[in-house]
Amino acid sequence: MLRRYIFSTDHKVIGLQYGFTSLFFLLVGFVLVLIIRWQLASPGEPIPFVGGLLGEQNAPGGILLPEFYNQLGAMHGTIMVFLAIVPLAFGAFGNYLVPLQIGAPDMTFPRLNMVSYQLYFIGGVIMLASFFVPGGAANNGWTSYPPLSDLAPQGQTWWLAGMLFLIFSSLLGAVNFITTIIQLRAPGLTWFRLPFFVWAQLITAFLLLLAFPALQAAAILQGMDRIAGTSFFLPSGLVVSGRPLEVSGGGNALLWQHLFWFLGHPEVYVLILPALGIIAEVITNNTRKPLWGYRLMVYSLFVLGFLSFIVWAHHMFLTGMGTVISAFFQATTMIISIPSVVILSSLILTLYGGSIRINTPMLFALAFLPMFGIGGLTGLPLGLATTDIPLHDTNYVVAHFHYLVAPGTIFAMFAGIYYWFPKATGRMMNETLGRIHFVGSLVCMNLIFMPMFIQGLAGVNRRLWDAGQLYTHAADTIYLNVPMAYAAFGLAFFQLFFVVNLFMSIRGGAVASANPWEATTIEWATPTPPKAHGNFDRPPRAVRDPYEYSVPGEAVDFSPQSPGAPDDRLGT
Amino acid sequence: MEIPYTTQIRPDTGLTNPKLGIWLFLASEVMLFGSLFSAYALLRMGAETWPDQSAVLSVPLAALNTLILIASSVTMVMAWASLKDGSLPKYRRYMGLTILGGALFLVVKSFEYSEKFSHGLFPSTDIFLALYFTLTGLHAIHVIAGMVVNAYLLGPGTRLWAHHREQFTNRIEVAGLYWHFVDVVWIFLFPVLYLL
Amino acid sequence: MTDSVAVQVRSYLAVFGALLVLTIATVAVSYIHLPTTPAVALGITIATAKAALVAMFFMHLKHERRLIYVSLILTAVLFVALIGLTLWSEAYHVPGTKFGPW
Repeated sequence: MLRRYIFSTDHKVIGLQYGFTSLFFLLVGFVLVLIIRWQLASPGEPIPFVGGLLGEQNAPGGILLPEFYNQLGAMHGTIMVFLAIVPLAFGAFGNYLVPLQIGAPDMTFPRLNMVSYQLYFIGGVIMLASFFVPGGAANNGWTSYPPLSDLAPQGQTWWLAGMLFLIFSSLLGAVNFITTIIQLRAPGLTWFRLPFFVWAQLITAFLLLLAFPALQAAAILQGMDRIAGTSFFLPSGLVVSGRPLEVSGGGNALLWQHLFWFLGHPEVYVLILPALGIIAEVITNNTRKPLWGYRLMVYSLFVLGFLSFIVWAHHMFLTGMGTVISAFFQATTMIISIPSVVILSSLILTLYGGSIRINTPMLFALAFLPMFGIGGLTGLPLGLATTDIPLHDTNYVVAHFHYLVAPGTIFAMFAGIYYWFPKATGRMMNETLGRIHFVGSLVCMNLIFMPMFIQGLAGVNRRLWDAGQLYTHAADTIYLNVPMAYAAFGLAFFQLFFVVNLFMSIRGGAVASANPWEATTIEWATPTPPKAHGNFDRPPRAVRDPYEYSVPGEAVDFSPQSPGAPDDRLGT
Repeated sequence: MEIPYTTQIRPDTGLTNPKLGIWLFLASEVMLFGSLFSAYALLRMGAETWPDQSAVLSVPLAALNTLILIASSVTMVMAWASLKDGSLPKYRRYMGLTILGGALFLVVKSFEYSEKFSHGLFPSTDIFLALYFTLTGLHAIHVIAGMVVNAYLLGPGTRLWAHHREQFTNRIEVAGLYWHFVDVVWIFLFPVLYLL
Repeated sequence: MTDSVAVQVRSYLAVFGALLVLTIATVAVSYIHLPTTPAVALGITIATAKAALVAMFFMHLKHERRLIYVSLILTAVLFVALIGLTLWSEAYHVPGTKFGPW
């Protein structure tokens, strides 16, 4: 039992481990932000129900202390990005599906895969434990800028330690993914016959491999500052609380920002690329058409991946950089929008002339498109240095990136779960509950994040524990926090439909065939669930492109990439 | 269940899985040490004054360490070559020398560190020493990790030679790639921290 | 690897010799106390030469596959971007926003 479920080296089990763990962390991150939303709607009021549970040092009388609010903010971001989305998008979906889609028996390094999950798990435990140490969890934003983070209480050191585990986990995972995709493709599966999902995971793995080490280095340097008394990020002459800091000085706080964002920017593409991969699979399947501009989309991934490494200082436009270097980063940032638009447009164009089937995964995929569009477009004024000046560090930024991750990536995660659930379990999720989940989530997410743009444009800063009460320029838009809070709790309510559906359907869902969506990609050519340790009854062989839907002259509207599969009615 | 291309080369890529895997891992290590070298460059260029590094640190000791590590790189690749030649005893000798080289390196390093500490020179003393201790410290951790792997491959790991000669030889090659990389990092650390 | 083991061993020893020479050279040059820029340039050049020898011969890169080369070149480009763009960003600051005397 222990060997089969806890210490398994089977990529499917590991994928599910990542899946359940990351969904748990998604819930934790969500709960943290619900408390934040309540606080922002009624700052200075005791938090109902849970206020008493938060502890006297965090919330005396149930009223959040600013330091604790900052912990909620920093850990919401950290948990969502590093413990929920990346492990779900890359660790869960990637691990489960990549070997199946390329017709491989497992990853190239199954034991390393198991270690990757274990390192992630340990990192997660460290992050959660940090809430309970004196001074509480890290409270310097998910970005941990020094000098503040250098001088923060103990929890920040736990954050650094947790990050080192998480980063190491991702690095090993990246090595595994890249080697697997290059080396274990089934016979006949040439590069341009790979499903777009696999390409997306490959580029994501490269981003993780080459960008994460910069944050590792930064974390080591900050660790040295905090533990060994060094001054990597502490400039000379720093005065704290009226007294000069007794350190050697000579450091540079911007060094942290450069190293952090060197990772931080590719990181956001790590958040979106697997989502784009999932959406592509769901759309092509539910339009019964090949992906429009598949090759163009793949080349766009290469360009996007490479450019993502040289745009990072657009997060630093307000640090006093010279005009020429700012112009450089502005230019690369503008250019990187081109491949993103190409990919989005190709997905939209795939719909044109298709036989569109509406089901829960497709609903999430269709909604993803405009939501990703809004998120991307609202990034443009942030990428232009001049317009970034009034918008930097306001709620506008928060709204921009949440449109991309919340009704963007998370919708893609839902689409993926509803879509591949029958392959993992042999049962369908309930369609009615799925549609309610979808409509409720879509409406609530927009009600939460659209007003945030308005607040940001009015100049309301992010990370304010009292929502900006003390600022006159926030007065006109602060009331919006109230409907936003209602929408947030509404969003929580609608997730119940998903959670119930998920667990109920594992045993009680309608029985599914091996290929209920009549899809072409090779993961559907396995028995359901795929064979433990080996996946395929017979070694697959790719004989055609990945999305041969509605091929003229064929009897059925899909031609599987690896024929002779359980549900292959062509029988070729 | 056999994972293909663990030992055999995949024809179209010309690589085995472990060979590709270790190079990818080394690429990430390049970015790790590269980030730290960037930190060094940024902090030094932004500093009012910078100590005369060769006056603070011992160039002769570091030069000795450089030669020790280079020698251990030679013995490492000779260990692999011995296996290609089919000789386990020669392999053992060379691998033993490699581990010894690593150990000598660490002995010299710890002597250097304790010398600094006894003169009241710590990472917290100034930014140059902070960089020196952090960069060489991280490098030393990598040396230790390499020695642990090599010790395993000299000890219990040798059992693989009995029935899977090619796979074992490939393992030594992979471990060698890591060890040479650790040598390369030192090849850059030496001039940057001691001579410039 | 097309060369026989014996041929390779000879090349390893030759490389070892070259590395010894280059190490002595780099230490010798440091005693000349050149001004910073040429000192850095020379030091880095010698170190790169040594690293290249280790990579090409000990790490067998000379005979390695294109895929490995591509990954390494990509890594090198990104490393140069990291260090170059970071230094460029910090070199020119709006007055009053720098740390230390850039």
